[in-house]
Amino acid sequence: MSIAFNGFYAVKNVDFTLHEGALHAVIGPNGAGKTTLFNLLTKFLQPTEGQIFHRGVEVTALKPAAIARQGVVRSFQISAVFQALTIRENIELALLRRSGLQWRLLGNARRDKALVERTEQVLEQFGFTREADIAAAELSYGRKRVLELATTVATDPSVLLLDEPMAGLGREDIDRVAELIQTTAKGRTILLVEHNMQVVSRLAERITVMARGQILAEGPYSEVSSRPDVIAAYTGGTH
Amino acid sequence: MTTIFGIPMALLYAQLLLGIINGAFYATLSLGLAVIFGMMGIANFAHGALYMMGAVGAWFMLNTLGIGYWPALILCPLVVGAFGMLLERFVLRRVSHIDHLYGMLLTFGIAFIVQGIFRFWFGSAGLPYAIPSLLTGGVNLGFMFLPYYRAWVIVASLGVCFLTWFAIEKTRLGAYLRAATENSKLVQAFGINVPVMIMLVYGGGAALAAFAGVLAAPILQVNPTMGAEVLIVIFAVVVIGGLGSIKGAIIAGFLAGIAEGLTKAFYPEASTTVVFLLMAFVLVVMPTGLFGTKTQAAATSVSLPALAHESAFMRWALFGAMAIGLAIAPLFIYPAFLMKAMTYALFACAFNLMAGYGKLVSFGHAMFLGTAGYVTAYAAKTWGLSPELAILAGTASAAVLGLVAGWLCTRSSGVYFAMISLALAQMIYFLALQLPQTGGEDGIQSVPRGALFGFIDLSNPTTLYLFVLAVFLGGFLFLSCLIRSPFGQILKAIREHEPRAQSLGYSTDRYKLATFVISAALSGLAGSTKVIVTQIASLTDVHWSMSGEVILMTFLGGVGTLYGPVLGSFVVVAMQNYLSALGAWVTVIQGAVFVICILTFRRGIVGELITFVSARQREKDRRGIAMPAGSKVVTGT
Amino acid sequence: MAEILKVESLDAWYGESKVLHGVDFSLSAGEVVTLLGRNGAGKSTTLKSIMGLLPTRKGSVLYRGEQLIDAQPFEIARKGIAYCPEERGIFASLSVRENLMLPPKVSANGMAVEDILTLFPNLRERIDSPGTKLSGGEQQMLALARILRTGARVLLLDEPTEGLAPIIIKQIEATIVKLKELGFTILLVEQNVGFAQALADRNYIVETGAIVDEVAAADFDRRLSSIQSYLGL
Repeated sequence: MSIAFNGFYAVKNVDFTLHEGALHAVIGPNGAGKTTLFNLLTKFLQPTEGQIFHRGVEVTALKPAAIARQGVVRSFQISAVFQALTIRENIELALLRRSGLQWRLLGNARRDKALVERTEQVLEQFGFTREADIAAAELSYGRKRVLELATTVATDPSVLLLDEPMAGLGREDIDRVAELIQTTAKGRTILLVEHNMQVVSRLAERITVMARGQILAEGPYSEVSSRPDVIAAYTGGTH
Repeated sequence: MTTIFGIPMALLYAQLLLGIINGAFYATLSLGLAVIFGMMGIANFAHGALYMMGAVGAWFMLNTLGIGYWPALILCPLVVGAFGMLLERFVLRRVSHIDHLYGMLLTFGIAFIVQGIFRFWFGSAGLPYAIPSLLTGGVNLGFMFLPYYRAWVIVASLGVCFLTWFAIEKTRLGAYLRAATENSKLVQAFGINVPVMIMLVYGGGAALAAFAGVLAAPILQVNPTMGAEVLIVIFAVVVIGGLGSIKGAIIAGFLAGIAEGLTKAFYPEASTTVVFLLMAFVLVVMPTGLFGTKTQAAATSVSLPALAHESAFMRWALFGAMAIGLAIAPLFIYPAFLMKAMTYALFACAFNLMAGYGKLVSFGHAMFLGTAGYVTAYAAKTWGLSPELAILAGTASAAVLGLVAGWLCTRSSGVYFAMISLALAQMIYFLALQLPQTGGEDGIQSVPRGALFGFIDLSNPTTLYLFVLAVFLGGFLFLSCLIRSPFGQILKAIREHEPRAQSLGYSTDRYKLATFVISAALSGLAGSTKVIVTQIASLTDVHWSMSGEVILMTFLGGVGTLYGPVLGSFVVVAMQNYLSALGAWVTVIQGAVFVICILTFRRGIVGELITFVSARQREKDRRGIAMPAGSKVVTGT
Repeated sequence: MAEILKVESLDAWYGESKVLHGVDFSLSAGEVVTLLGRNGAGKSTTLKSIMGLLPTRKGSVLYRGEQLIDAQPFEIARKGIAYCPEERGIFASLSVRENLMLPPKVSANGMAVEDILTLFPNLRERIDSPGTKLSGGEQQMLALARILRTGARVLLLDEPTEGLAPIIIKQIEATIVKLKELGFTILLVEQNVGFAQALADRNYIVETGAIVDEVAAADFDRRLSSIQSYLGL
């Protein structure tokens, strides 16, 4: 799979397989094409050439929303929550589609018992019960990231694509979010782009190293991370 | 005599020449518009007014100051250019840091003010301006007679287009400009004074418009409304060429002029519509126009005003108060005024659904109001349908139109969306003018009110009032439920963060289209009801100034608030009713109110009120939390 | 050495979120200094904030003793501070030549175009092609080249190695060494530890919008593991 911007390849001839149930991390220096890979997988970008398969079915021509409906849900590098809406509403929004209410023009989602219950569960699971009715904009950055993760998980995806979930978080938050990722990973497939190597080593079973739009190495963390070419690509090599 | 498809060659050449001349004006005007758009991201609604200032200015110079054509051709653009620079420096710059939409709305208000002042000053009649003596007469080319002045117009326009193109593509200043269009911050960081550049660009665009105005003075009707008419065509031209593209503006300008001329030869009735058809066609095939590549970056959005807390009781109490208030209002206030205000209020609420909650600001919403009005009037008068069926037919027609227009419009957003909806509305306007069923300039008059469901007589003023009240309250209630429904929540989510909504599995395009159709249908309901009340369907309801009025009402009252559009409509209708004695000044006052609103309270009356109350609620919350235990620490994050 | 740029308790905001919390550091004339830190630590934001490119900033930015905190970006640039942004900022609608000639001269002692093209021979070959038809490495060289012409003496470089092949990184490294010899003062934002070690006289570590540590070149090896832990490696 490749994508070119102005005839300039951002991701070139990448062959990448994500196995069911895996917790897989993609690492690499800035500009390596990790986020571009994400955008390609979730169809926010259309590959110039190549194909994408989900469970053996080709999905290359689908739109982002259709990919999401197949259970492949992504988060964003810069925290993507609906700022003006309350935390409860943010979570309800993630749940509406699966509860079949998304085309209801009248009535209130709060009258749907199952939805309300599920919302409460998610609120509790991610520790938002007390702040449920404040606007998402009032949360700290770290809590926004948690909220985004909560809404992503609430859609009950089979595949989660997390784009730098730790970016901009303080140390205490990092531990919490890492724990949350570990819990939600059960029964799911997770692809993670992350710079924090401690987190990657703790969470990921397999890692893929990207550099300059191509895959440099792939394998278990301990094995790949000690390869000299990987270290060189990542740190520029120590002299 | 030689003919082509039954048209004499001479006529064809003559129309072609006329087309090229018009094309020359279009090119010069859209060039300025394109440069301003590229640099500032603003679709300059004041462009028509600046063009008019050029033409009227030339007349004024000749008749009052005794300055002839040739000096005016230089002086007028300089004066208007300076005026443009002042406008940019002291008005437009104040909203340059927020959504470009507000800049666009400001130019819209400015256009109203300038046009109103000039109408007061010079009257509405055409002002004669003689062709300069040097260029009187013409030459016979054998197949046709070519007046010298028209040849000069073409040469001068081409010259100006070439000079502008050269300045932008080949000079150092042009390189700054192109670079700043891509990334103005970085250009600033290189030591270039971008704010001054923007001022010069707006001034330059204004000067180009005025130059076209002076050129037009001897051959077109010079009058204060001449700019408004040409502006809409220019928007279509710029959209065809690709927003922001210099080359596109010039080529599309001449293309549009020639297409118009040829259509005039073969099928004169369609000549004024052909540009808009061309635009619709180009957009379907190439959504960014012929030469447009730039997709507009997402601007910082202005968030919706919302209360920190509101209870169901509060909501119903407010609604009840409004219902009761309107029910007893006819005892104190003239009912015709109230009914007019309520139909406008419903229209504004429908518009607000898209503009406020969907963040799609349409500049062509009058097409739904007007179309539904015509259909209702025709159904009631010619087919003799009862009022409820006639209104239903009108509403349905608006919904269908909404589906088609929405399919074309919702593929774009921001300024593109505004301009495309405006151009589509203009097509509807010309249809309303041309079709035999709509009665052209006269409209459809004395529409029977009839009896609702066959037995409720609407000619009784009290019954009619209650009927309009019921329609308004019903529509309002529907909308207020809609925005609280799952659908409404998803709509707000799309407004906040579209990619995130997509990543949650929502096909955002479909939601936008559905919103467009609902908004169109409710605007149609308002238009249909209005026709039953006023018993006339006329061109004013499809004219673009009506689209402007609904924007004014909504933004004045508070876009994205439930009651804002209602309040805004009552204020605007009251202004029109009670100030009508002031004549041309009403436009000036409306424009000024609009400009002041955007500059000082851009959340609108209700929006500012909500923001104020909500801030106090939050303040109270904070104290409430901090006071009792004093121990609650907001942890960690 | 004379202090040329001094940043004191610099705060900056994006909208309502505060992104810099009291950044303090200084540059002496002729030094190469890096800001190291992980993604989102506030390194690029610090550079942008020095240039006045953020909507709000407070604190003090002294350039040769002159306070610039209230100055506009173009005024700051004209004082002699040049900025080379992350992702290079090559203008797509301008040719290589136009890109190179774009920044106006801020003093008379800028490098001559001929000397610049000698320093970057690739650019000479492609001088008339559109800016974005260059490879990533060539774009980076153009981005560097274009601020050398202006006569600015302080260069703020934001991750010049980002996304580039090792061989290109070597070339850029050599270029920066050359620039240092020519007497430029350079503030470099980096994530590439090796690159920083090869070039810098001093390194500042940035974390959550503040400077948390300083490492002199001489101590680099000894403190390598702590630097790597700051970077999350």
